[in-house]
Amino acid sequence: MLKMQGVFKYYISKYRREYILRDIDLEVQKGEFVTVMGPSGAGKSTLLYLLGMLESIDDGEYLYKDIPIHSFNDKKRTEIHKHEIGFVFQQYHLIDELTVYENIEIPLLYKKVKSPERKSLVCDILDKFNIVAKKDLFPNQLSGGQQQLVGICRAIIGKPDLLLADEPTGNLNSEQGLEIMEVLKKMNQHGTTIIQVTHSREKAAFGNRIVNLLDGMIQADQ
Amino acid sequence: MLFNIIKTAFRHLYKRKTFSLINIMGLAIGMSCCILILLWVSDELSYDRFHNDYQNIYRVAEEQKQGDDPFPVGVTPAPLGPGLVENFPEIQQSVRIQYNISGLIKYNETVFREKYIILADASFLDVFNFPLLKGDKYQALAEPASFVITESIARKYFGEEDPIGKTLNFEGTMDLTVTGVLADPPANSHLYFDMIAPFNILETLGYDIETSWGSNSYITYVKVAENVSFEALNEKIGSFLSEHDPGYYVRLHLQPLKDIHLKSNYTADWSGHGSQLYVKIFSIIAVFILLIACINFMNLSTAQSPLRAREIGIRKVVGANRSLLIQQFLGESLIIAIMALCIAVVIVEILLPYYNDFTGKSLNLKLTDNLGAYAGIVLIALISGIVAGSYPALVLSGFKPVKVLKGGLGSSKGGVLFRKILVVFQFTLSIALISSTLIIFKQINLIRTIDLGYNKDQIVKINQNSSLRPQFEAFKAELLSNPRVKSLTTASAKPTNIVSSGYGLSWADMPDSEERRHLVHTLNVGPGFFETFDIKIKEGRAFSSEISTDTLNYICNSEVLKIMDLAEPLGTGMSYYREEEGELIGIVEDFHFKSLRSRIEPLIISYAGENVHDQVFIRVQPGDMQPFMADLQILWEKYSDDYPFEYLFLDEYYNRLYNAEYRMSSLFNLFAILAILISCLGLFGLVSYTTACRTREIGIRKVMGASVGNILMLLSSRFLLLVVFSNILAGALSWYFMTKWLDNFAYRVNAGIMNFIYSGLIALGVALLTLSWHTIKAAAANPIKSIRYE
Repeated sequence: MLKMQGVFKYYISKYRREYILRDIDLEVQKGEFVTVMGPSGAGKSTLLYLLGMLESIDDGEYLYKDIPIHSFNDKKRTEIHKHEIGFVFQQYHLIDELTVYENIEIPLLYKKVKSPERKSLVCDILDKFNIVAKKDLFPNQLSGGQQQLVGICRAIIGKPDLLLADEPTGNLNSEQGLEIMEVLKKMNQHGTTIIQVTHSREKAAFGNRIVNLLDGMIQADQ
Repeated sequence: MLFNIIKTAFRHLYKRKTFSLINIMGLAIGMSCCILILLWVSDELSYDRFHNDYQNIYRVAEEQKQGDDPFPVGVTPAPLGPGLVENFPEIQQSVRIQYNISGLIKYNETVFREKYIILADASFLDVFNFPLLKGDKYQALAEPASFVITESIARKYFGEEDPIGKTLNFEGTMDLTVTGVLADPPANSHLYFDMIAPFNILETLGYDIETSWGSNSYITYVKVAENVSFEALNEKIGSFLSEHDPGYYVRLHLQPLKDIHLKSNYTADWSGHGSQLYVKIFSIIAVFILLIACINFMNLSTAQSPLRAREIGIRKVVGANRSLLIQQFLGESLIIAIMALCIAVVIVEILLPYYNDFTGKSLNLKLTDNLGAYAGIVLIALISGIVAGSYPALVLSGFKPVKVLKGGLGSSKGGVLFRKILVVFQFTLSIALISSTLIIFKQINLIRTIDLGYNKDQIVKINQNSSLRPQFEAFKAELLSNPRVKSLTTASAKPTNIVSSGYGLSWADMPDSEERRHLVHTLNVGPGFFETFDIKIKEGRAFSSEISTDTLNYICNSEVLKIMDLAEPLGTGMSYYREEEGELIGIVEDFHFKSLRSRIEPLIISYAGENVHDQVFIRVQPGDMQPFMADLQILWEKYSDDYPFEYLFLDEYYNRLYNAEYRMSSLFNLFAILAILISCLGLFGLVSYTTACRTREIGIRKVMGASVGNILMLLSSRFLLLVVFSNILAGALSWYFMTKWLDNFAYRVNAGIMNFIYSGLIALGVALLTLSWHTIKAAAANPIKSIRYE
């Protein structure tokens, strides 16, 4: 499904290239649950953003569903974000001014889903995650775990085939963290490809493949 | 989607109440200024356009020569109108008007002085479209001794009775029968009148209106056929008058009716014309103020952008494209603009009565009267919404999602620079307004205090009338015996405003080439003139009642001397429209007998020997004016009880000459204050933002030992530098516009550098005050709190 070959990512600082990622070769099949691990500054998040096309690669080739991404224009990329990829963040990144219901609804608005259908989709997912009672609350009225649940709801409501999660449990206590991981695992079993970044071996165990990064290079891929 | 945008917009506004309030109020104030000015400007531009045929109606005016300079004159000879119709087939109708007659009107026991009586040809009611409520359009002014009056005059004299057929008495000499009632003329008509009598009445009064080609006294309007070329006709009629009255330079031209209000600069004309310059200046100010308000909005919105960056990042990640985000932000700013508009309309409604006082207009916000203005107002809201929202929309929507989500967004360098430019722009405009206000104020002050060459204070003017005239010497004696009276005189005109002029000057040994070349103003005075007005004789002597030949002699000012150019002027034989030659016996110290807009022009003064003029001037001892007025009233009742007691203080009359300037100055004041207020609102918001951003830095610096003063300096210096820079730009801007305005005055103040320094200091002071609110708070805060907070 995703294929990176010899990908480099660097920043120019003081006329020098500062490499974040070097020579990354990575292939992810459909239905996989991949965990990217490594110490701080290894380039895990950058790798995730490259895979999610939020950042551009500086060298090498990246095939998304067998198509090289440099052939995509902005519009096509927005389309992919709308329909095919979901993001989950460590800091949840909910919009503070919107309620739970409205936060989850945003992607559907951008997909121009009709109002009744929107309503039933959001209600379904609220129901599925047992947060119907919270639907009119604002993010700051929720616990971290609940916020992350809303974040996941928002990420998957558009039924993406790829879910990219950047330390989804990083800000949660262990109990909440495990719940979230269960949710991800269940989704993976239903066919969603998941790539997550984490520090925790325990969380990595929920997936079926671990990629280890060190100083921007892949150390191990099991 | 739309609903979502509106919802988010309101939640954002609510969340940051102070910010939103500043934003909306700033915009609302700016818009209300803009609306007020727009109402004024559209009223000024609407003058005389209510006549159906306004595009085919022209006023015929003259250009004469003053020496070699053009001298435009608004009045024309009586035979001109019919002459034009007869000679030029393109000209269909003509209307002659004798304007501004004042007289006592009497109906049974009701007596009033009416100041706005005009005489007009019968075609008046046909050419112009003043709606006739009663009477026949073609007949009303055709009858001799007929009288057409306005609705309010009819009510004043006749109450609810039918005025048609009633007889009004004019000055005790003439009975006129009401033949028509007109609706009150609209305020945006340069022609104003309360009563109209037929023009031919002049003939019954013994004036020659058939052949007097040499006397310019009447305003002539013509209506031309459709599709006549204005330029061609203008060219054709140019020399018409000089053919009938050769001997001096005069050229006729047509002035379109719609231009009369704003583009008239004629000697002898209707008073109360507007000025195109003011329309321009105020339109520019309206745009300025709206810009200042929009800039506020932009500044505040972009300053807030880091707070919204995360939201934008998220929206992008879940699939919003840039255009959707731009829509969202433009939508938000439009919502704010519309809210501001609603508040602005309320503000305008509240201010309108005061504003009308200020401007002397009767503007309103009624939808029916102002469809155009309303369209303009909505347009203002849309434009300011889009202008103000466009920059934040473009900037915010361009954020890279990864960057913002990682929290790596400091405000970009470009954004900071842009905000600085905006602040400079804002303050430049505000300071320019302030310094212009200062200059206008100084000029007005000059007008009030300039040495006019005569003393206008402590003088009261009354008019003679038919009962006073026969007993005037007794009246005069009794007045002069009053210890409160210093002196008394009569004259053919107020020295404040002498308009009568002619080319009839001649002197001994005058070269033929000089004949009828110089337009000279003239004044005829009675005994006591120079003394009463405190006008000094520079050389020679004043008129004397002992010397009987003085009624033939003249006194002139130095401008006349320049024309005659004689080595020994005193004693020269001279004459002004007279067969018999008199002598130049004195030279008067120059005095301003016209508005300060024009230079002092040539003036010759002749002597009547007795106090025979209608206008009686009484100089009262300083401080005695109030008790004297009581004395005067008693005396008036004794001598002319059948006339209402009417008087005029010369200094008040003088001030009225500058009404337009006074109004302009108060408006300028108002708008300058508002502009600086809006700018400061913006600065306030901006500083509150930057201070908030630097809370941690301030904390660290304080821990390192910075004093409150150091911190204040750190926070304010950048902004103050901007204000100083704006000062320089503003100086240039207002200098440019103000020298243009001052060019209107022959006597004017300098647009000196001090004005700009003062206005700069004012702006700096206000800015400093604004800054200090936040900076002092931030500087005095406990540093540990702010550091730990991070």
